[in-house]
Amino acid sequence: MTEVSTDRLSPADSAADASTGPLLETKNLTQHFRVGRGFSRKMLHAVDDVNLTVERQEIVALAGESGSGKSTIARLLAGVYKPTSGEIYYQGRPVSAMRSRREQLAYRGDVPMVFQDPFSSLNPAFRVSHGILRSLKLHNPDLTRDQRYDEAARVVEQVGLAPAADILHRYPYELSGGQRQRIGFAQALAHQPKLILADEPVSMLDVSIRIGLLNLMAELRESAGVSFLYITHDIASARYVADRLMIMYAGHIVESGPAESVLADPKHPYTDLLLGAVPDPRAPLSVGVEGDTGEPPKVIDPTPGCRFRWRCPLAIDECHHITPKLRLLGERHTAACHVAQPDPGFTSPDPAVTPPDTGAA
Amino acid sequence: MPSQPILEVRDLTVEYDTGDQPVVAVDRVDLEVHAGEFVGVVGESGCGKSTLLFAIAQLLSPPAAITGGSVLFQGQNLVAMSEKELAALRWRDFSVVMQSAMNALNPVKSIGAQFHDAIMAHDEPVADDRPAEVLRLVGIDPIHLKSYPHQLSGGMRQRAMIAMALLFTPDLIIMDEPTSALDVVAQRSLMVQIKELQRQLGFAVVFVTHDMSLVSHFSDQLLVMYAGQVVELGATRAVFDHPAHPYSKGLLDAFPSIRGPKVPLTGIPGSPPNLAHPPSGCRFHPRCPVAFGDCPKIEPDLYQVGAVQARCLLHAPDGVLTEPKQEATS
Repeated sequence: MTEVSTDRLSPADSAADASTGPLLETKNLTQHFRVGRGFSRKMLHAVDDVNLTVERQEIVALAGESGSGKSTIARLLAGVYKPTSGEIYYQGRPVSAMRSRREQLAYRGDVPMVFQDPFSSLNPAFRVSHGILRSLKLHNPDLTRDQRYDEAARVVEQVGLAPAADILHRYPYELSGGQRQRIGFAQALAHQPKLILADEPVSMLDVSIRIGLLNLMAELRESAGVSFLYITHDIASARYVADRLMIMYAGHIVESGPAESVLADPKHPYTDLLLGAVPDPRAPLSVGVEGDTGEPPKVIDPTPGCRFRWRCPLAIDECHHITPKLRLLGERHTAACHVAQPDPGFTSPDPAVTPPDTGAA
Repeated sequence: MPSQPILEVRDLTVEYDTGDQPVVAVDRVDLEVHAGEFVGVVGESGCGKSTLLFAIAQLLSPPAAITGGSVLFQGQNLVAMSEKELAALRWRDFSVVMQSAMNALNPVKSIGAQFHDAIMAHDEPVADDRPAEVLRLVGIDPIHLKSYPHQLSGGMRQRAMIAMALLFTPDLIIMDEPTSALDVVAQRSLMVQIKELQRQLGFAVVFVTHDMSLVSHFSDQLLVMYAGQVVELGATRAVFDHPAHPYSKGLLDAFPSIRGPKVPLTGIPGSPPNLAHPPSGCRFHPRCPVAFGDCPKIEPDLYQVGAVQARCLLHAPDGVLTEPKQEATS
């Protein structure tokens, strides 16, 4: 990964900036939610022991079905939830140690989020400029009114909307879904972020305009030097933009690696299932998911064992008793499956141990 | 075509009365559906596909109204029917599955109670265990007859809607993007299920979607709509193999593949036109990559191109054009 060229850092980061390590890293990130009360109190395990890294100017895709915990990860990273356990490191610094408002604000400016639904994420009562100008005012209080407006116009043009002055003056209802989602990206870009958390940014949009937004993400990586965590259930779009792909099921990362090798040689049966579900008119109808009507389970007070075992065509006895750990099975390619075989000729240094995330090259 | 079509839409035109000048949302659409057939209707948002579907089911509400054409269902013209006559047909002979099951199901009534409502609206006798039976058909445990919509996942809600549509085993089910709120896995399993039920029960399906790839393996006929008009019509395989209209080609090239080399895609730049002021000539010409001199001037008809019909001047017969055309790229 090339280093970021636009090196604007708020004063808070510059001291702590570890320009060598990953941009963002999580260690055993876990989020449990309490369900029920009194004697029927139970714990819902939304995210369990997730280690992920995002390098500078990297696009990492996090894929899985609805209910697999993808959005919970995005919210944890955005600071909406405080993790049950585990830690998020941003440029080498634990996020939980950022206690002052100034530091938290700097982190949130550096790691903004783009939401799924462009129809409800913009305030219908205000012009488009409102949201962008407000966050500029919050994050860059030194700017004058005119500078803020120029900056807003710049980001609107950066996301491919023109003429900027006209767009900024409109209300959300005057824009199409694709344009609104671009405004979502413009808002995120306004504080010159380092990592944009894009939570299913295209799934509400028409197929014909999705590709434009995916291309925009790739462009912004180059022009604005940002990284993306791209959350999606569509593995084909993940392949299109992402360098690295992480597959999530029922709160666990089950497979992770360079996007091309995960898709060309999926190790986990769940990845196979996701791949088989992508409609591809250029290929004959694939079989394999025909009988599958399952959904990710709600993981409440889990017992050991693979969480995919009930839907897995390959499940063996071991899967019911031992939770599989991520093992290194190929070049930077890990999977958590008892049955998965390593690449021919590939010998992991110590396959029994969970390796740290594969992102660190 | 061997049999008499069960649904025959002729010259159907729907207008929205907006005060100054009516907006034509569906413009002289013809459509035939035969018994047991699966017809896909594709196009972007704002192309009139949902309006077409609502017009077929006679569900339009003002300011939209059918201003021309007919909808013949099993030989009867639905457009001329009274609400009472329609009520007898709905659910029993044709049913509609809406886009968002969350909004289409009543949140304060159990699934079973809603099934009961649909049954009570008809004089037709229905076996007591029919609700349980249709739920089983779509792969839901009948225990969920007691469940409320919020207790079901998105995929199950959509399945429950389809189960409800199957109560009287209708001849035609009209579906408006039933899978758009689902993830790809749930989407695929629902499509496979619809196809399987269709094979078992023999109903015909009109399926509206913006995702052309979704219907590629499931539909028999494909109708591509743009700006209220049919721009391409033909057997699904023929349209996918040789899209004759640049718009169909654009829709086909709009989604990335998981196989083969990674190619940069462009999608279709721009957005569908405002139907209050549709572009002159061919309505697609401002976004068309292969538009030429005549496109803004001459309004194309549906021309026969091999096995399909396409509304594109590239395929116009001799004598229509005034300027030399570019060669078709497909």
